[in-house]
Amino acid sequence: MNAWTGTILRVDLAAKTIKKEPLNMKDAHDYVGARGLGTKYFCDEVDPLVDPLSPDNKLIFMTGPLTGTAAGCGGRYEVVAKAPLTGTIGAANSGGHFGPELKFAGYDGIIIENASETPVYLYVNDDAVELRDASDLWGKTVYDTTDTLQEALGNFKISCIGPTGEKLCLYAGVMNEKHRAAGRGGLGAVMGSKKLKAIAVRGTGSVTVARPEKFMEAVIDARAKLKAHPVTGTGLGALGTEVLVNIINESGALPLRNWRDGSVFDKADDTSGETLSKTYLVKSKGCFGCPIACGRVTNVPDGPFKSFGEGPEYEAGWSYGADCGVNDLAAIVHANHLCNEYGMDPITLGSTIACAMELSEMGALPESDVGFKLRFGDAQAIVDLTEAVGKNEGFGKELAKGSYRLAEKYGHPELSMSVKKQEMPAYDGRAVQGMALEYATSNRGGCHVRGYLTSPEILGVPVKTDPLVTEGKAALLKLFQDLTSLVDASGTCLFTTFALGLPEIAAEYREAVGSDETDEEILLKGERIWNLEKRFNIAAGVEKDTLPPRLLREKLPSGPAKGRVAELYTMLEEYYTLRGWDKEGVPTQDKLSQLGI
Amino acid sequence: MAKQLIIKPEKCMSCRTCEIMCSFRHTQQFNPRLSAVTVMDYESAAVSIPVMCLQCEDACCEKVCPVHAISRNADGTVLINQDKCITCKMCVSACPLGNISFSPITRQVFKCDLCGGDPMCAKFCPTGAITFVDPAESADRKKAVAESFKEVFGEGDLA
Amino acid sequence: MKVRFFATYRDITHVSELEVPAPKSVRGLLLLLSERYGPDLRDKILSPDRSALGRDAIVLVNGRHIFHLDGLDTPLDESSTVAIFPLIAGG
Repeated sequence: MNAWTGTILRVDLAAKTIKKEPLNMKDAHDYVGARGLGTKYFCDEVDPLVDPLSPDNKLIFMTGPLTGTAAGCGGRYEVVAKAPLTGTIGAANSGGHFGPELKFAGYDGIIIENASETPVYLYVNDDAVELRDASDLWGKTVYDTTDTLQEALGNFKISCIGPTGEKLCLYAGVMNEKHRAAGRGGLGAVMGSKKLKAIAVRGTGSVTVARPEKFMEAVIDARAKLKAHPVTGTGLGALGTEVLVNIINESGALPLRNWRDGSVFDKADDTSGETLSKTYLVKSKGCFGCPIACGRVTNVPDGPFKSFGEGPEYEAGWSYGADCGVNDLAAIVHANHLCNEYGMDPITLGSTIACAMELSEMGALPESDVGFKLRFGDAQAIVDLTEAVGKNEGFGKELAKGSYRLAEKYGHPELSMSVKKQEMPAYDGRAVQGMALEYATSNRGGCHVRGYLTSPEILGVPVKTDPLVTEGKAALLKLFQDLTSLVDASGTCLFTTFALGLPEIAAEYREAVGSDETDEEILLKGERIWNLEKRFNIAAGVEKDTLPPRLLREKLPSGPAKGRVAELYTMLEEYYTLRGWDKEGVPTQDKLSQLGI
Repeated sequence: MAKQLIIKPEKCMSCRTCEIMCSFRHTQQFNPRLSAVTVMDYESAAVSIPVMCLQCEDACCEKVCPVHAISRNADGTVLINQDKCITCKMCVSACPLGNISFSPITRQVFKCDLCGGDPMCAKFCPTGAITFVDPAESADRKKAVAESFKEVFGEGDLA
Repeated sequence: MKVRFFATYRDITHVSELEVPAPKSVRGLLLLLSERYGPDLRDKILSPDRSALGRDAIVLVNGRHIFHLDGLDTPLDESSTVAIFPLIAGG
């Protein structure tokens, strides 16, 4: 077996059984791996109406065929379950080294079923797989859990949840190598609801490819292109994703104070990648097999926000920064470190705090509920409230449910800047029209990354399109969403797509698995994955595609997009048509048959 | 040839590309445990270091081998002759730097052989943390020191 | 008018913002900046034959990419703010 290992682990936490089963090869060919294959297994086995925190939800860890190879940035894997935050099919992608280690141990993925009565962790050491007691790990932070397991077991790679996953915070994440996150949608809470604290993996085996020489040619070509491109070759490694702050701000697209005050922040540069690299950046870090090294090792050496860890990435820096009206970079860095340590999604948490700030300022959220006077711009507050969520104390218990449930409780659900209850990151859809369409249509709710039109609209990569127009966005978005699905399924990192296109990615895939499919046939798998996710969401009763009223009706007060709103409906109908869906956005039977779903 | 592998840990960002390229070159498989180079990562100190055989002049492995399977070639690379090797693994114990390993997969001892003169780790290291150079020819660390003195003591650009 | 430099361009100019009298167009501004900061900047913001924008440079006038305006002929006045970036990205 090449690329894939051919073996799936199936773990029943209630019956305490562990089975090794052959990989479904038809599904592997149709859905590739990681996000695609994990979603396919999930959709085949789980009722879309399942309660995400019930034992009937399944939690799937899935690598891709390129995970563990020398493919450009081949370190990725996906965690899949029905997401507690949104009720959609949730899939979160992570890097680091855990995914490759699972492949070296001989497994493409792990399917986790039911729930244990007592805390356990899964021990995977090549062929030896067993459930072990985790009572003395329960309650520990992500850092402590990882350290404790590695001290006890040796050179194992650890994926785990922190206390927030145990306490079912709706946006708890699954963390690996301490600082890498399968972050959004609350998959950490699913893991916590099953009382699975961690998975520890050691693998001494190999990943092979079908056509080694041709594969190496494709890899050498891909790596040369990654090196030559200014973004992947030097830019991201030097300045990290926070380098986006200034260009997004200059483009009038940096949402300010829960998107209430437009999208231009006069203090943006204080929170930028340039400033980070001069202050708290220690060094760059790369995931497995990655030449880009966008990871940031960061240290605040002293002061009230003294802290060591990794990050923040652009969206987390925004949610704690401009979204909260905060420009104290030390506080932002520290808050992000706390999110890693406690195992929760900083994009949702920062946005939820911003929502609470607006509710407080308008008098809808009483000071007594928060415990102090909460206002935009308060750097100490973003840290204190992050701690409160991490420890599940005080107002943290409310914040742990995300901005939608918070805003609803205090009578203003429209002030949750979310789609399908997941908060939209960091790019104002009124100034970047294609992103408005992405937020509305993304299969896991407010998500920027799966249809990252910011790249052509603001950065001009791979083509230059005008962020202020709606023409052509529907077609471009479909292409980006399909290609992203493919890349996510392959086990390589999405950031390769700044430099690589379908031909390079398809070539790596083709030579690894031994396929003779064309580029278009391979891209079709991405479209198939997208439609499978959509069909699940419809069956799960997920909300229609729309945007918060603020984006649809409140005109931007300033900047190059002054006076604009998100012209969603202009683009939405065309998008549905191009996707082969009906006017309500439901995939037609014809489309599903064409894709073999 | 006086080229050797030069390690600059300050450039290593622990991607382990060196490990998988090394294992692939020698076994056509991706497997860090079949790699002659290993990245040692000290997470809390924010430093990582790729470690491989340094082709010792006074090689313990060569000395200890009871069947003389280990020797230096004309380029100065210390190589294992697998035909002579009886896999007693004494070399694994003898190396003070831990740079010879035994693979349970191939059931052989292995070490860095500089890929016959074009080491893959240096070729594919994205940051230049591993390079294959003649230290005398590419005296970039000496240059860095000299440049600091030039800044302080030099008269600027008089030309 | 204001000129703002970002990312690695700041390492060349050593300032993040500058006030200059407004040239007629973006072309004029880039030539002025090339003169002031020398080949290190010039070779990045202008093509080798100086007739076009540098391949890896992004220029915004009042937040709009010049590609969607009039390219190097985009007019400037004293109220303009021009932002100059090397090609950068994230996600």
